[in-house]
Amino acid sequence: MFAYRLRLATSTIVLLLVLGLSQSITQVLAAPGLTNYTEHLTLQPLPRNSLLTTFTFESYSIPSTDPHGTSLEYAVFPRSLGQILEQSKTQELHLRFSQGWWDAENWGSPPEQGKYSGGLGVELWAWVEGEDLSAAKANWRKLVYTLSGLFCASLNFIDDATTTFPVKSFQPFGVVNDQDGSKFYLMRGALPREPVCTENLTPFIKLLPCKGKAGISSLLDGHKIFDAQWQGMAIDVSVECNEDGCRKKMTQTINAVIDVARSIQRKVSPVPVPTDFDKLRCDTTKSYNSQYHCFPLKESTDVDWLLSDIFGRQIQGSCPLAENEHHISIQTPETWNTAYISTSKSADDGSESTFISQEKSFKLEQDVPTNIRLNSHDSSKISSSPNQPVLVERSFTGHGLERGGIRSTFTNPSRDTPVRFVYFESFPWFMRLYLHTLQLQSQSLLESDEILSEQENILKDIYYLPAVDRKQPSQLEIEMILPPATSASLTYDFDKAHLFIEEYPPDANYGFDIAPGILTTINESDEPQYTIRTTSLLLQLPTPDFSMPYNVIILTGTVMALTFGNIFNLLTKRIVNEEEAEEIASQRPINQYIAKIKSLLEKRGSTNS
Amino acid sequence: MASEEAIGNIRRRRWIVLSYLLLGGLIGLPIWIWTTSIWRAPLSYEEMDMYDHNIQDLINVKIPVYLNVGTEFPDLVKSTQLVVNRKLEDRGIKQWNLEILSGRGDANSYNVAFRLGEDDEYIISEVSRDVLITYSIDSVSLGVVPELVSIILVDHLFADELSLLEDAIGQKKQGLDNSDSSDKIVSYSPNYHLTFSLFYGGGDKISWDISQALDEHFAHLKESYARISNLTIDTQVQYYSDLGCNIHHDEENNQWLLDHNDLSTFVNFAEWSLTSIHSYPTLHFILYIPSPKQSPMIIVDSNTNSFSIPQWGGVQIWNKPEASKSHLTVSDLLPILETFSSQFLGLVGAPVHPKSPVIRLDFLSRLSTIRALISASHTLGSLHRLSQSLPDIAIPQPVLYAVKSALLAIQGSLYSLSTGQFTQAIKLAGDALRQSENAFFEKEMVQQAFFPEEHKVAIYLPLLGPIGIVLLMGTLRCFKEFKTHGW
Repeated sequence: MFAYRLRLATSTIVLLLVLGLSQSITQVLAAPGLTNYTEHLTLQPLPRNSLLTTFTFESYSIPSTDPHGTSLEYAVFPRSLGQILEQSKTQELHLRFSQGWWDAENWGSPPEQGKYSGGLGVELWAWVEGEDLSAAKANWRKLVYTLSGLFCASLNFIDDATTTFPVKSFQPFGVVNDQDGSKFYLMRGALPREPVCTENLTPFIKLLPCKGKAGISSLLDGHKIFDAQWQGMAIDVSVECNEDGCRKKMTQTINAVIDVARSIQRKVSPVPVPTDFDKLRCDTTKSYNSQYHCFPLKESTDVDWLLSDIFGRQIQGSCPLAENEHHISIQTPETWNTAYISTSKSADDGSESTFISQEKSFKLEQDVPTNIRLNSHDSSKISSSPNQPVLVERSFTGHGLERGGIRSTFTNPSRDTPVRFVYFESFPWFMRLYLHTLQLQSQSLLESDEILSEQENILKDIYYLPAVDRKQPSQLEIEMILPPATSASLTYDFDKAHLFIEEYPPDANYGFDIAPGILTTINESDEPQYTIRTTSLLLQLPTPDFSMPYNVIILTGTVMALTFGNIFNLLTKRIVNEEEAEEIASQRPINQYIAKIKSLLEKRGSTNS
Repeated sequence: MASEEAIGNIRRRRWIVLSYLLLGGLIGLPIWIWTTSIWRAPLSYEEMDMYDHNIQDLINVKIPVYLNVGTEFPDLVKSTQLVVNRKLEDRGIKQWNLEILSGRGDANSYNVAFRLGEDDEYIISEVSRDVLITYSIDSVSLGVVPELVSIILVDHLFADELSLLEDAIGQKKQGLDNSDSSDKIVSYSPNYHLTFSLFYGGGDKISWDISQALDEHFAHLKESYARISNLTIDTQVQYYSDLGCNIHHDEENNQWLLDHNDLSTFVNFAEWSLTSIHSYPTLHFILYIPSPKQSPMIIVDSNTNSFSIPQWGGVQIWNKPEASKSHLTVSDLLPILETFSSQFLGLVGAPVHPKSPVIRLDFLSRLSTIRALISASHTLGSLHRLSQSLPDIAIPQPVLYAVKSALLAIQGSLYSLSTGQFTQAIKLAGDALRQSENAFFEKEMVQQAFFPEEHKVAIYLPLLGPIGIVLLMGTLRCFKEFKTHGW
């Protein structure tokens, strides 16, 4: 059981009063002027005892008259990032670090409709300024190089051969207006193979004004976050303008789906150990149930845990710079109980006060370590999250190392509304796509036998940029309208190209990761609604034996030497008959020695006998 | 005995072996060398070495000084020049001299005016390059006016420049055991980035009117410094900044003390946001405000509560007068910016005297030129040593261009120094420094630095080994036949 004690109801009321009072004071203080920094944590239980945690931090730069919102004075907006944006002339930046797979069928739509979620690995897109494309590319290169240093990620591997120029799939969050003489170019690069880890989280936390020392960011621990089933870090910088000037807005987001049971198990024993027999949950109704046979029951729906069980630490009070009213909100139905536990350090006894509340939003107090307890007798009852309007799956088809195909299946589960979306895919140049093989097959989910082939009704628009070897990836954007209760499969074929030997990455036999496809649903007024990403694919290319060039050189050298030796000897050696050869051979000094020794031995043999 | 071989066959064999040898030697070998050699641009090593070894002696600064005299002292110019020369010779300074001229120069040159008075005195203007010398009638009658003028010029007006010049030149001659003053100085660059940071130990709100304060109290320095280097500026505020060192609590006075030993680890490089992506050097000026728990924080034995970090920047610790103060106004920032300004001038190696800022900037401009020239020459020397110690390193075309333009710039700068065109001199010295560094840090050169010899041997041996042996045996045989048969 938990080792805190519940105080009397009166103290709870007092605390509530104090909380309410301090809230109103901050509101008065924060009222004039613009908001500079807010932070917010959302906890939402998901099916099967998973927990979705969403950390959102928003910081703003000091307003300036510059249309890019560039100010050389930095306060809560970090200088390290601001300097990079200023030097690389980047107006808007979106950076994603993600791991794991979002289970849309069980969990519904990703948080914020996928606005801040990324595909597997690292993804970066930005609006970069430049007089022409080559100037913008130079700035883009500067951007990826400096970001790779800042975030300890291999972003510098985004080069011309991986940079795409999406047309429809991405819309700016803020103001992107072409200036006179210079234009903004949207560029995007993805590194699906990049592992996301603690070394990326540390610079992320350093960008926050409270640096993980206070506020909700004090929960962020790499070991816990990266133990999640699905997690993503996002950094989005955009420019906001009003009549007084422009300023940069940075949104930092961390989403993680945490397996609660696993986290608690980790806390009990960091090394997995077998469960004791008396703690096994067995189905005792089974006939074979005995000391040695156990049919496991489903996981218990009776849950009771603390925030510190999951993150390994408490929240170290509020970040005094956060100007929003509520720092934490919990999205649970009525059947869940929430308790807010704060340890007051000023009190001599260091006692803890707890109040159980039906409130779902909390405000943190400065320098007051805080914990949150959630319990429910039926954890399968959770607040429903909206369903994803379209489900997408993607896989390779075909066999062999010469050619292959891709099949993407889109499903509209809704019974009544069609869905309009843009599907974006980019392939490296060594996947030579054949657009004429593109085929769309649709099928109604209701009458499964009926195969519709009204391709033109579904496929609305195709934007295709073919690949150039080693210079440009291929880029495909397809706009589709999927009727209700329909599933459509898009297939196309490609050839696999051969690479130069130095172009193979280390461990080439592992294969090449192909970046996830991005599906963006759009409404009637062309505004993006949901962003959904497929999984990445693993492409097998014909891989040479890497010691081959060396072997070839040596073998060729040996063959050439042999040929030369034969020809040379034929040309220069004297041809004699066998007797002559023996005679000449016997005159050689070494043969004479041998003959001498032989005769000596023979003499001895004869004298002995 | 076997039958003798026909002499014709033997001759033919010789021809065959000879033609193989010639083919291999004259065509094969050159092609092999040509296709496997690493291209090394022909750098002018002698010139590079010459500047590397002799740059201190090649520097020849000539500063024109105008003596505004009429006919009352007909020989003053000549005799002053003689005295100045002798004084400098006594100090062993060959690189620096004054050119005493009569008449009145423009506002950009040093003008010395004379006045008859009771005593021998001098006044150096606090704003311009003017010097006023008051001489007594006694000095005139004793004929010591040239002595007087040269003492004022060499031992007073240009005293700081001379001592810093000796530092700059002497340091390089003596190698590592230099005085600590020149250790502090950041190497010259035509651009510097300055970052003014407010690091606060606590987490509550704090703000400062830094841009306004910089406009009012720093813009002037920035503007006048522009003829030496361009300065770019940004500022930042950081919260929850823990120190990199431990501090001791003084129970008696309820204050927190920092020892001198702690100062070297004061800046928390791991956690504080101090990265800079500028291609030129960044100098950091840190205003540290301790959290209320650690206030007041005092550096032991420091009046200003500040210190500077050699070649890196300066730190000022400032304690809040009351815990609730959360905004630093321009008037709060004024003394802090003064500290930063003087720390900045210290870091770039500016002299302290005389008071006139134009004169000090003149000194600094010349000294920076000299420092840049010395550093550029030594970089070129290091490039030579590098290419000597790594015979396999490639030297691509851009290095050649960079070295050529660096050498030209050094030459031009030396010439400008000796003709009094100091603005041109510092510009060229900056170019020389940049180009020499470009040459030394050329990307391609570093990339191809190591291609081990053993690899080549391993690859060529299967080809060259058997061929070589066969050829050798054939040749030996021909020699043998030559011995026995002759022609």
